[in-house]
Amino acid sequence: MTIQKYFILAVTFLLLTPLASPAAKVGQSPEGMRLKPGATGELCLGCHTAFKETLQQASVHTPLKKKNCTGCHSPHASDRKKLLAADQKVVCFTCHPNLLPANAVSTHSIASEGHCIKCHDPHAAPYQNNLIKSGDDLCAQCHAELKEKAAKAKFKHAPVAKGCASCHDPHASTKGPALLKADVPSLCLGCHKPDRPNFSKQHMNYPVTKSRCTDCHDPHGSDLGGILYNTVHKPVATRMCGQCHGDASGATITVKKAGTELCKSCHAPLIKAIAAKNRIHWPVVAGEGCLTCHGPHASREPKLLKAKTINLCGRCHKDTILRQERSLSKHEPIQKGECAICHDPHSGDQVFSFKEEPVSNLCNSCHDWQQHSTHPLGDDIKDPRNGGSVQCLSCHRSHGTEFKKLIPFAKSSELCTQCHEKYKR
Amino acid sequence: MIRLLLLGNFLLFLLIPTFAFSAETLKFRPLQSITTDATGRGLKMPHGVACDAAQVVAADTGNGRLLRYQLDNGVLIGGVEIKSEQIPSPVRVQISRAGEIFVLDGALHKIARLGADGTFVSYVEPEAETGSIMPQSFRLDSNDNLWILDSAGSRVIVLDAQGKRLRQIAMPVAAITPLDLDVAINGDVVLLDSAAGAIYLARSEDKAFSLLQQGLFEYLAYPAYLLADRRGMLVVIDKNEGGIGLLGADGTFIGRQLGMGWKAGLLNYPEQACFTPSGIFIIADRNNGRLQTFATGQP
Repeated sequence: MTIQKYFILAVTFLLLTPLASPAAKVGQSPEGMRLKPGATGELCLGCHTAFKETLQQASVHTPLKKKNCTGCHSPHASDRKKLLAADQKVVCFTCHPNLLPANAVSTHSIASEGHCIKCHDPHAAPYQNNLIKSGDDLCAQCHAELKEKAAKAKFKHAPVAKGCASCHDPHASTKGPALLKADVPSLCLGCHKPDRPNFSKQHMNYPVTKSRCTDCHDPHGSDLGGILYNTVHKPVATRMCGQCHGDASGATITVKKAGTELCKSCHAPLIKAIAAKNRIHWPVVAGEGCLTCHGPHASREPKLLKAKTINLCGRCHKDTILRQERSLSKHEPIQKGECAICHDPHSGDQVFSFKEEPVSNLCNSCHDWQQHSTHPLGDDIKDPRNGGSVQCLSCHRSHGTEFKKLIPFAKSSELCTQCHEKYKR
Repeated sequence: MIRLLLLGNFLLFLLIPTFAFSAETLKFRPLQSITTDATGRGLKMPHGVACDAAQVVAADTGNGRLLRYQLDNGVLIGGVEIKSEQIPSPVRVQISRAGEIFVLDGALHKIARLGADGTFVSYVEPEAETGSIMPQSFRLDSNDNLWILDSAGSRVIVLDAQGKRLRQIAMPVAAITPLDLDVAINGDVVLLDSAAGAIYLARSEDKAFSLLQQGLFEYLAYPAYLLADRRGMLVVIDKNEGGIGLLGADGTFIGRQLGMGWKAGLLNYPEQACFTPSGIFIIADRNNGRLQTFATGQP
């Protein structure tokens, strides 16, 4: 074989190597290693005597029960803690590969990120499936606020008392969002029979069986009858569905007008005021109008918002929210998720829908240093970089930067010498 | 055997996506920064700019007026005010082949038609339109047909000079916030969904948009304005991070240029942009209160 042929073979080998490199396999067969009897686990318990007690617990992990420690651990050495044979985030999936279905609609982040030991003890636990706590107490480790709210609710939803697993799958769901065992409304209709007279009466005879129940009802309980969310649109609270909807006798639920035109029937002054400004926020005038951000029936948020303000704004303004998250210094209104402190969410006469002009006045509503000591600001003070006026945003980026004090430079001297060039060193 | 290996190696090399780097690109070199009109009055939050071979019309939004500059050997001179009660808040501008000026007013949500001398002629009203129209953006194509991105109707409508509807394309169902569109020289229309970081394409014979690129957020923070240059390359303005993204006609990302800042050559919440026939790129650098021109080296 010539040198040329060797060269071609070598190139082929190099190109194929990344494709062919096998991942480390967990629990590799010990056959052919002339192991002593019990070397895969029984021998381990000779030193790790505490496991005798562990084995007495109600739920023991199958590999341990079978004395197969090498199913998860490497007996000699490992790059990972506890001599794990594979990364902790992967090792469980070697035996439980189908835990997260490929067609999952929603997955529990703990499971998808491989943090199985946050819920399960890998060796043994007092509770079924090696769970480290029982039922809802386990879920409350992370979802304490939800559990507390459900416990305090004046009107409770019966399945909540039976446990989270009544409606949610703890790992993943192929049928619905939020790990629901089935999507809404079919999950709800499993218990709430629409052919019962009371069901129809409560829904004013509207054909709601195809509607999304959780648009109005809080499945975890509420202080309002019918477990409606705590903020209810007045026509719903007063059962005046006909203000917005057509006749209840139809096969589907209809609305009397589309988009903002419908809202205008009651909120005409507000909509007129919004329209009178120079810049209208895009969703207000888009196809769905007000319903882009507000729910028409009920909401857990004030002003019938469909989600917390920061999440709602973040649907379109992801980059702005991310900027704040990555910022070294945090701007308090954004950190609190209160975008509307500075911005009018409907419309405004200024760019960014600022509530005040110039922007320095807006900043001044919280930062009173302008009352006593400040860099000269205002229309009369010219920014030599662009000929515009010097305002707070000439030096700061209100949603954050990689550097302290929301300034876009690592050192304040770099910022100052942008304009005061004679001091540049 | 060796031939087989050589063929295999050749195919493996083909898998390496080098094509993205070989595409022809634009290089932006700062030329001019214009902060005032002919009288020395400063621009305030300019949102729009349009250009042809002889002139540049800017929407000086904060001052509620248009400004007309002449192009003299690639240099902007003048800055004569065009003011009309009918366009209190101009945000987007286009110039027709006959020199007429079309202006989208952000407060009225109407497109105004001005004569070549700048006098108001009429608002653009589509014939036989019963529903409300809310123009978010618009373009004139090479035949002076008007392409309107209608937010209220979730559609793009195409009107001829008389307002007669020629075509209508529904916005893609998956679109979240379509903010801009452009029409390529071959009649293909591209639609920019700013909140989804996606670009959709409808070819001249298509009845619906199809996805061209959905990964803009990997390169751009908030893509808000779109230009298809004469070769079909897409220029996308990153408003929030003051940059320009360049994409091939197939949506492949090629590169990012310019950056956020205040000094000449940098951008601070840029908005509309245009190319002159000689390849000069002009952009409304909104929060810097100026127009900037850049040589691109591409006529």
